[in-house]
Amino acid sequence: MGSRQFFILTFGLTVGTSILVTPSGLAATAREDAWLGGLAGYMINLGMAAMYIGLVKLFPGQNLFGMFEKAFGKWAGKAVSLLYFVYFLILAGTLLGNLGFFVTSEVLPDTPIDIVQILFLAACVMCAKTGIVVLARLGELMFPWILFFFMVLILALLPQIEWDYIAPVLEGGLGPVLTAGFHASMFQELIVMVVFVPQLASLRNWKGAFLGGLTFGHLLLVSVVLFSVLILGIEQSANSTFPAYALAKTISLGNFLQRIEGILIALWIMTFFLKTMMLFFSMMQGMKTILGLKSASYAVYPIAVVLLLVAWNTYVNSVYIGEVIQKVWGGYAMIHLVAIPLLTGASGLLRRRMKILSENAEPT
Amino acid sequence: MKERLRGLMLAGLLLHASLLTGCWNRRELNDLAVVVALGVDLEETGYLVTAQVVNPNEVRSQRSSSGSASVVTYTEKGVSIPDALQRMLGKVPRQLYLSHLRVMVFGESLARKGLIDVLDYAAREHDLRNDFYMLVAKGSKARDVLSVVTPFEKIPAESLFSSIMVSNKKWAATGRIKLQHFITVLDRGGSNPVLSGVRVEGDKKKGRNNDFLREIRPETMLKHEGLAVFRKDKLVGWLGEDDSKTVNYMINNVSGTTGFVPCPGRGKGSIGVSIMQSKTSIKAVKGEDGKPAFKVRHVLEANVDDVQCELDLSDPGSITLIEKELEDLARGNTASNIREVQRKFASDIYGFGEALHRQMPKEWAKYKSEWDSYFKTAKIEVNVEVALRKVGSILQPLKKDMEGQ
Repeated sequence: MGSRQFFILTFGLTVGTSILVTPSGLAATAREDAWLGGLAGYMINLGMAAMYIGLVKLFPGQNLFGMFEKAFGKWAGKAVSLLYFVYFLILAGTLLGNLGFFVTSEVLPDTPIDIVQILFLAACVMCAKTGIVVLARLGELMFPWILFFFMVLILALLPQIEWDYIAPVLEGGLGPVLTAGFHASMFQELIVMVVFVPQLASLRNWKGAFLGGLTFGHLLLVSVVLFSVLILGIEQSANSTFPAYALAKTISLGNFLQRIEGILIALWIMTFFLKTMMLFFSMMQGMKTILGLKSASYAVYPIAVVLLLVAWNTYVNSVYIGEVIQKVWGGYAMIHLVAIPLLTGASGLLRRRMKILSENAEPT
Repeated sequence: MKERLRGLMLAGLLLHASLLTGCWNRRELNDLAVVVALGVDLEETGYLVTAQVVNPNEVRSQRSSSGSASVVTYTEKGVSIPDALQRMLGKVPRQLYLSHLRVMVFGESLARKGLIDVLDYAAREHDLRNDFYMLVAKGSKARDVLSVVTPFEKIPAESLFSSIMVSNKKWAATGRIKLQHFITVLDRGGSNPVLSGVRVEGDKKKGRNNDFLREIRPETMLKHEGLAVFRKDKLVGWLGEDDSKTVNYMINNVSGTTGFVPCPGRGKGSIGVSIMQSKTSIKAVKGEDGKPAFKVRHVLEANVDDVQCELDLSDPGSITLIEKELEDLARGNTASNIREVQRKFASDIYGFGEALHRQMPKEWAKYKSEWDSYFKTAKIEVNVEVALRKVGSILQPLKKDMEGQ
């Protein structure tokens, strides 16, 4: 995997669900400052990314799960890996559920949600069998299209901007902005990229690619949030199930270019796919490490089946999931995005220090 | 063995292809009844819903029509709108399709009672897009409005739709309001929405029959008339033509209209001007009593349309004179129209509260909860700046030329 591919995958991971889901929460908490909340989320993500880069340096050549075994020992490491496996599983499952809800509530209302999800999952299984390298190439193929659709969305919306909608700035102070930013930053799950670092052909440019993908992804996210506020206004951004889609629905250029939201759905489906696949591959790696499998590809079908079950059972209805996202998800995600990586890093540092000490101790 | 496997795979591939032929919930054009207008009226137990559906055989222009109307209007009662629409399927031979809706009309009595429940449905229903206009049937039921056949356009809903577009663009006394805009204005504090009114002019019963269109001067017509003032989601009153224009000026929804000023000095007659550009901004300031007050700055660009006086138009002084007069007139007009809405309806349809919110958020917090009652007495100062640009194809007024001989 080259560093450009790594960049694109990081980008896909950042944008994935967030583009559909976060604007609404940001607008609800930070009101007119939703876009500032997005920027705050970016800052928090940068911090987390710096931490992950530190982890990679501390455990060279290891993927995320390998790091845990190095840091916590074999069995405790496996236990932590299992935690992450479940985390990724729930993530990918809700992603699949989200996709099903989005497609069936906005585009294909009479299609059974299971069919949408199974078709999507079938594509995922195919991709999983071919391996991460193929996904990376697919990412390269998709990337120009994602950019193209995004540019269409942004350019077509420019005439509808109401600059008034952005004022007042910082009405409630920094508090709501930071809260909103924290919540938003829990949906990019950049730690997933740590799983794939060992598969890079060279480690020379990877940090740039990682931070670049993250930055570029956030550029997209923040502009979608900004446009939601500038065009829909905060009330409707906060009250829409899928604000970004509502945004696409308002496109009308000279009564000619309109009703193109159907095409723009491709934007979301593509980023959804990238993100789901990243999680899928992470789970395969996780299962391989935990169970000591010879090849990660044994895990494809079991994961696919469990994923479908998780999707059906977590995404009961959009209100329930909204409640979970608001109340539970922030803390749950933080354990995996911040707390455990910190512990891992601390343990790694401690072990290195002890090793140096013992090496120094021997000659004397 | 290998051959068989290959055959099996081929069969599998072919089976896959059968999945790709169409969507699950495809809707063929000849299974659909395209709803172009939806009317909602109040009914004792819920709503009376009227759907104007296109009759595809009659809209086709190629073939001579069989004389039946090009749209059919169905009405049905229901506890909710979807309920009524479902029940309507007992009469309509095809599935109702709402995505191509052009107008949604509310009966006045419903609008007076509150639109919020209807709006909830309209915003929630995914088939409805955001490109239809909303209207209030002035002094009648929405059903009556949607039962009138229109000349010129075969589909009455289309006629309503395009006449809103045109009249709003060229006349500025009607409102071009879409669902999303209405909800935004409604939801945020410090502004109240307006909707454009439509009235049936002439005999309602006669208007239903296609035959009356054979006359060169059809007796029954649909007419856009004034804006309806809402306080929150409830209609509280109607504005006349002049007040409606003021509202459109204030919310920067004027792309062109006409106006006139009396001839300067003595003499009868007036000078007509057409407004080419208009931009209004509201500035919230702290008044002398410490309470919020507002300064409206209205910049107009106009051309001279017709001149009924003996004025020397080659003199730059005359232009300044007209500008000055236009400024005075517009200032007085706008100020008194705003005052009237303040006094009569106590509904902030101009968005002064919103301006306060955006410009002085701390002040806003104090008045937020009872904005409409504060708005009633708020001090508002209007300033108009007019720039006259063109005088048309001739320079001197013909009247002056004639008298001069």
